[in-house]
Amino acid sequence: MIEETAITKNLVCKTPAFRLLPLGFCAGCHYGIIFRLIDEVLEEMELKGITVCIGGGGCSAMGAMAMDVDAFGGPHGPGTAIASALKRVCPDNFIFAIQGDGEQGAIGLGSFVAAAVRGENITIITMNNACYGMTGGQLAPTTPLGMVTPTTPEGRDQEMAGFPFHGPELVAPLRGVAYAARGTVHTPANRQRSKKMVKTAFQKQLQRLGFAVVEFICACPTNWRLSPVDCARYIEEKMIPEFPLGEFKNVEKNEG
Amino acid sequence: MEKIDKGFRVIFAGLGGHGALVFGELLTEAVARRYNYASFVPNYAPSMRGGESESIVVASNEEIDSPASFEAEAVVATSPSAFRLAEKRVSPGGILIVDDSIICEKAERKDIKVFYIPARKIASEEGNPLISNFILMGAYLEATKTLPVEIVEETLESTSKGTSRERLLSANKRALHEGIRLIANYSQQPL
Amino acid sequence: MTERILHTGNDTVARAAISAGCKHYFAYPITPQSEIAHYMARELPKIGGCFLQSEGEYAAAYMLLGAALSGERVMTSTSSPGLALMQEPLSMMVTAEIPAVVVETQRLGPGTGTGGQQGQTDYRFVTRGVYGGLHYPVLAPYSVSEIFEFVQLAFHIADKYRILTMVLTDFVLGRMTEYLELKTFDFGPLPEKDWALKGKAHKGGRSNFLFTVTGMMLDITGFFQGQQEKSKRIIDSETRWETYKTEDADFLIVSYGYSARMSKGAVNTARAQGIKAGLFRPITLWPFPREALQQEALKAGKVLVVEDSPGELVEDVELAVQGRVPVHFLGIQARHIARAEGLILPERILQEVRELL
Repeated sequence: MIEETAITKNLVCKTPAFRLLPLGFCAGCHYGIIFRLIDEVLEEMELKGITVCIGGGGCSAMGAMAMDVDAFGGPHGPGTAIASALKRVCPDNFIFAIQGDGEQGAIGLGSFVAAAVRGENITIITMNNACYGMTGGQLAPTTPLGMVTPTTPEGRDQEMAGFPFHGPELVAPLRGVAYAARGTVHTPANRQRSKKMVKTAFQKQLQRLGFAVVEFICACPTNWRLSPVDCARYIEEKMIPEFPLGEFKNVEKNEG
Repeated sequence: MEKIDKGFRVIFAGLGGHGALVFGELLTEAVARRYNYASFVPNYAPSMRGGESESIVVASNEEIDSPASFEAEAVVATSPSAFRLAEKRVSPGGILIVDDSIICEKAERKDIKVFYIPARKIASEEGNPLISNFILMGAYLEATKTLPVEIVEETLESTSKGTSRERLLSANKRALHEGIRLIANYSQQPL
Repeated sequence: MTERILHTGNDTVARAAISAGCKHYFAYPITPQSEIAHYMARELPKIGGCFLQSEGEYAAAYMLLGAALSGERVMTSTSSPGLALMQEPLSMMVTAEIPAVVVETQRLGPGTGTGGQQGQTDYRFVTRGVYGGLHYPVLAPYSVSEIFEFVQLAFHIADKYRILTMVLTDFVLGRMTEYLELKTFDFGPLPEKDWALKGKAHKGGRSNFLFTVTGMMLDITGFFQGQQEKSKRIIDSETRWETYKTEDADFLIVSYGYSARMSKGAVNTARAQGIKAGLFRPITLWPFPREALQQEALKAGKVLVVEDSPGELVEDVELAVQGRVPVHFLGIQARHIARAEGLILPERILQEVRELL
């Protein structure tokens, strides 16, 4: 499938069956870890044959491009609307959308909340890297207060740009939502917790319980201008206090 | 547009709530029972209520080229603001029916036949101003003889069945005949 | 004999879509075509289809895209301001070659307030509206019967060429009632939808990735080469028009949609008065029947474009005749009243013809 290199030769676990390798992510970016994690869950749950993945714009689009499942990629923001319709037309397929934080909290906020309100039986994976990674690290809805970005040169100020956006917490109270959680992959333990979250979220769709969303806090070393190790520290010290980890909702069975 | 022998055109020019659309729908259904072709173009102001509201119905045994036109052989007018225009839209020798309980002006043209019918007033006295368009329909049928009233009554029965209009059926039919009576007795009335 | 029923244009859109095998419809209410949604909401659940009222037109068109990924026949409908909101998803569908049908019941101008009123001010918008340098076919019916046929034809063209296809109507056509013949149509064979996303298990384990033009695309020029060839195939095979009494005409009216219907009456009255007028009606607005129009225009020697707008179709007509015949224009100022309820009526068209003789 892919050429063996010094890196691939020494891997402790097998390379995922990606359509596109190597992934074009920056060094230290967490996206690759997360996409691999999702790929593992799809594999373990034997969902790949019936899966359609809807990718967004920006860096998160590469996940849809890479995973060896049917996928559509490109539009920035409306992934939940696309996934909603496809799931309704093909209820026996497994449909999930990958969204950036800007897609979910800004340009696609309407579609995200509307799909949650309708209780669409789809799964959303959100990539929260606190900025617009591909366009140059500008202010995202999830940028922490004080963080310097090209469009908040003095740091995010609530007077000007409001407070950080919390997607899972926002939709958790809605009756159509079956699962809402947030994880990270910046430590092995967190990676394992987050994998369980993805598994649980996918389960909700198979059980037809409604809308499920898992947000990942991800490092963006390039735009944060930090080393990968310092990124992990930033996540501990700045991101997690703002964006608490854990499950905000977990509906076990249909309310009827 | 000029083929009276092959069919006819009628315009109802009213205001929202005067029943122009029901007039048009009902007449079109009735026309379809008699002619090879029927068309109905409603034309009304943006909102659901109020504003100018117009219906153009065409009956023909040939394919209808234009389902709307400026002129028609008969015009029913209930809108004061559109009255002067409505008068102009009657073809020479045609018929203008005016609800003079709404429109105070009088027609100026001498080459058309004009009937003044206080439809709205009569309908209100009957306790239901909403049936005024049926009085005007009866008047139109009697003045133009374009369709026998039975066809319209049959259509009304079949289209009302199972709808909220069903309980108004007898009132609507009475209104049709009231309109017919008003025109039948019209020549005896002083102008 | 084929069954004939009285039907409104809007109801006919919905009925035709269902006849074409479309079971899924996504839309947001907007006057003057919400009746299509009412019909679909009532009928689609009965046939196991999906009706979904979206959170806006932008989302409706993205839902259309999402549902179309399955390879099923899907449709949305809207009116002018709604179509403006749909342009991004629709452009993406054209580029990503995801077929579906959009019905646009055009109304006058942008914004609210004119809602529900007639007008033909979207010609340029629908024929040149997408970004990305590509086109989609636009069919313009002028009667309820044609709406029935063209909506079904639109699904066929969409599937045949893997392209978004539009049917353009207007307030008058959408709201008018007339006889409809419930004919069945056979437009010919269609290719397999091997591109559809239904899970790779459907395709023997081979996964599909559909996308738009992106930085990841390795052969941009090749992509456009393919698209240009596809456009040419559509132009060669799908360009449609109709002529009415043009054989001996020395005056040619060019019009589409409701104003073509009014022009037809004008042609007949003109003929009755000894004026040899004829009507040329483009049925596909893209591809535009340039050559056919040029021939008819040269034959007649005089052209009058009638459209309820400040002048949009007239641009394509001028391009087609290439200055070889004078092109006159009768537009929105020719309405019988200046208000929103104004229409360009046959008598006014005839008057213009007489003045230009």
